Amino acid sequence: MAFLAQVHIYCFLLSYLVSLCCEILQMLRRTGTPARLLIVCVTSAGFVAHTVFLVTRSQEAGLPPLLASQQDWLLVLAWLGSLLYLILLLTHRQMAHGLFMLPAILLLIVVAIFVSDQGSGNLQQVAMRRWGMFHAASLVLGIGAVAGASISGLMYLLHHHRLRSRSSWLNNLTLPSLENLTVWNRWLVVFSVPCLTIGLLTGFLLILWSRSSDVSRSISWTDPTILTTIVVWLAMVILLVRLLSSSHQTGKAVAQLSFLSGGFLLITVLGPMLLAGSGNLDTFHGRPRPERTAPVEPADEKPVASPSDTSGEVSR
Amino acid sequence: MNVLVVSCNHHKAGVQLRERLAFSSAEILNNAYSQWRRIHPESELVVLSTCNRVEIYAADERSADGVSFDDITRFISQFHNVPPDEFVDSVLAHSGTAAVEHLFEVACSIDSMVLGEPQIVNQVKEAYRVAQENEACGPLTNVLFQHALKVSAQVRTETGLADGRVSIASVAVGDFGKNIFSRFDNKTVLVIGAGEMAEETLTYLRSEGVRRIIVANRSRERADRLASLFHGEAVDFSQLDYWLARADVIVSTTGASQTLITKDRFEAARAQSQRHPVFILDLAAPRDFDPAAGSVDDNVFLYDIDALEETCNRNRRAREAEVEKAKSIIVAQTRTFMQEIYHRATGPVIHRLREHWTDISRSELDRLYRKLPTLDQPQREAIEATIQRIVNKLLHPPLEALKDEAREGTPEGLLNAIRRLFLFQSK
Repeated sequence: MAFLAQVHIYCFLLSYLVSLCCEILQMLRRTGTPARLLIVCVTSAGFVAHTVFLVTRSQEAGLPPLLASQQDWLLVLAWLGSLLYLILLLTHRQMAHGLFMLPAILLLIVVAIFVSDQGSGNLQQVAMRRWGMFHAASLVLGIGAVAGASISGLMYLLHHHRLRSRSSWLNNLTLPSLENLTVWNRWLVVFSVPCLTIGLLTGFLLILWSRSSDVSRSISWTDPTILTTIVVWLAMVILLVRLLSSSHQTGKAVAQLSFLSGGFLLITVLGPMLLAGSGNLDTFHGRPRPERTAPVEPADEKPVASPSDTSGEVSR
Repeated sequence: MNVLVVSCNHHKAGVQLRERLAFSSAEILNNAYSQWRRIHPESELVVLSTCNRVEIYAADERSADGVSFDDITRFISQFHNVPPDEFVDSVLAHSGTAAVEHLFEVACSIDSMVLGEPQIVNQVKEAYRVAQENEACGPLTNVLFQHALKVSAQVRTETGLADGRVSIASVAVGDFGKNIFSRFDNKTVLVIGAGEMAEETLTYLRSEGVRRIIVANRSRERADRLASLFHGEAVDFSQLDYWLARADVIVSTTGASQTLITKDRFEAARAQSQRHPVFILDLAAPRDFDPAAGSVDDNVFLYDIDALEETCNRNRRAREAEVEKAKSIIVAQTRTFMQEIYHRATGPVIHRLREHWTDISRSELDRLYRKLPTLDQPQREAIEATIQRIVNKLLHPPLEALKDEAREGTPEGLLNAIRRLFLFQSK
């Protein structure tokens, strides 16, 4: 299976790019079933390559993809997005979900190319690694939900514009009903807040843990990544409070806020990652992986990491 | 003998103009017929007024001095108090074969906004019935409209034009309603008006799972009838504002000649609601909703009949093959109809010719019987049969010539020649 190691990030990047081009063509020309089949085939191929890449990286790092590096963390987020897209593609064939989801997936992959592929932090302890996994997974789900809310918000706004103004250039766009988009939007906002809260709290616990166990690798409370995550969390909490408190909140208002929160997410989460990756920002999550140290394990638990590489990071 | 049509339809005229020229209620229509009869007592008239078209069919058995396009335009202008300049460029005018073909296309729904929609046949039937009631029909319009209904039935049977989603209501709900709502079983539908279009829309909405139907109509009796058909609830027209605030889907199809729901009225109703999304389908002509009511808030989605145009064009493109089949039937039927009409024009001449020759033969026979009184009954019968055969054989060539000539139009020249040759018309 040596050829699997040859799978490069550009393989699935290109697959998703081709899918996006087909989706655009489909919208412009109404090419029908053959184009739809092509999109399914190309996206499936990209998804398989994406999965193989993450598995290979995980095996090399000896850590789950979420913990290996910032790059892997972003690629997991993109992988979740492409999995959801593939499901929607097969279940709602006529809908143009790809026009909205694929650019987000491509953006995550492109950003992943420029961020650090080196892990940081110290996850030799099994317990710490589990908390790290929980922390990273919560944040991935939370940020994924914010991105989803943002995409459904954008879909709502375009669909709303089309239905109100009967705009001709959007007429070929087949989108879910406004009622469905409103429901998705609201649930994604509701879902994102507890996920981000859990992610933040577990992150704080990990900071306290790292401070007590390893002073040299301790994380600052003013770390840019932590601060930006707090800002995103605050924005989503405000959005949720508005959503729950106002009885006259229209679907359009929620969609606008969700869309703005997505833009905010782009700036606050991906921005620092890119800056850290280019060395212009000093953040714990972007620092190079430390030298190996002997793992400290409880007697009754085996390490998850492979013998070849036991170092890791606290992803985000 | 001539047939004329002046048509103001969705192809050339916007909804604003159609509203101004519409004969929107039975009372207006009856007035129109009585005015027409006063001005043109010898010509026939049928008015077809729907949400997509206002068409005036006039027919006259006189070729010269008959009704003209100018007469129809003047009549429309005076009746609606609209200067001709404001609509002449937006109407179609056909005469003779083109007028007949146009009516057949209308009745077959080839000319409809939603290709193949079934309502138009009933609307044509209704227009013909009202014209008959008003004694505005005559021999030409009778045969024309009866033939149109026959052609419509033939097209429906022999083509796939009416298959699938073809009603205005189904296109409107399918293309706009389903983009707003994902389901209809939890929605309240308010229907304003209780006519055929309301019934058609409710039939489709019912098939989409709508459970709660409220019918508001000026005539409570008609509201009750429609509500009972769909297990809905009829309410007083005075409660309209209350239900405007609560309905998720509003279908308005009244025959009101003025705007029923102004922006202010709708705004006041919305202020009483949670400003939930509302899908309004204004299928009336003139429109029941002020177009400005659509901008009351972001959750109001108001569509009138013209908003369906793009969707209907897509529907049309998908049925091109069936349209071609239908058109070939219409062309053939128009030709047959016109031949019948032209041939009808020769009827009085043929009748007089036959009568004339029979009279001559009868008088000659009487003279013969007087000269030969000994002839018994069988002999007389044999002579009469021989004379009848001679008359028929002599009549055959001119009748065949008339029949041949009548294929392309009324054979006026030949008819005049026969009149002069056989001396039953003074010079």
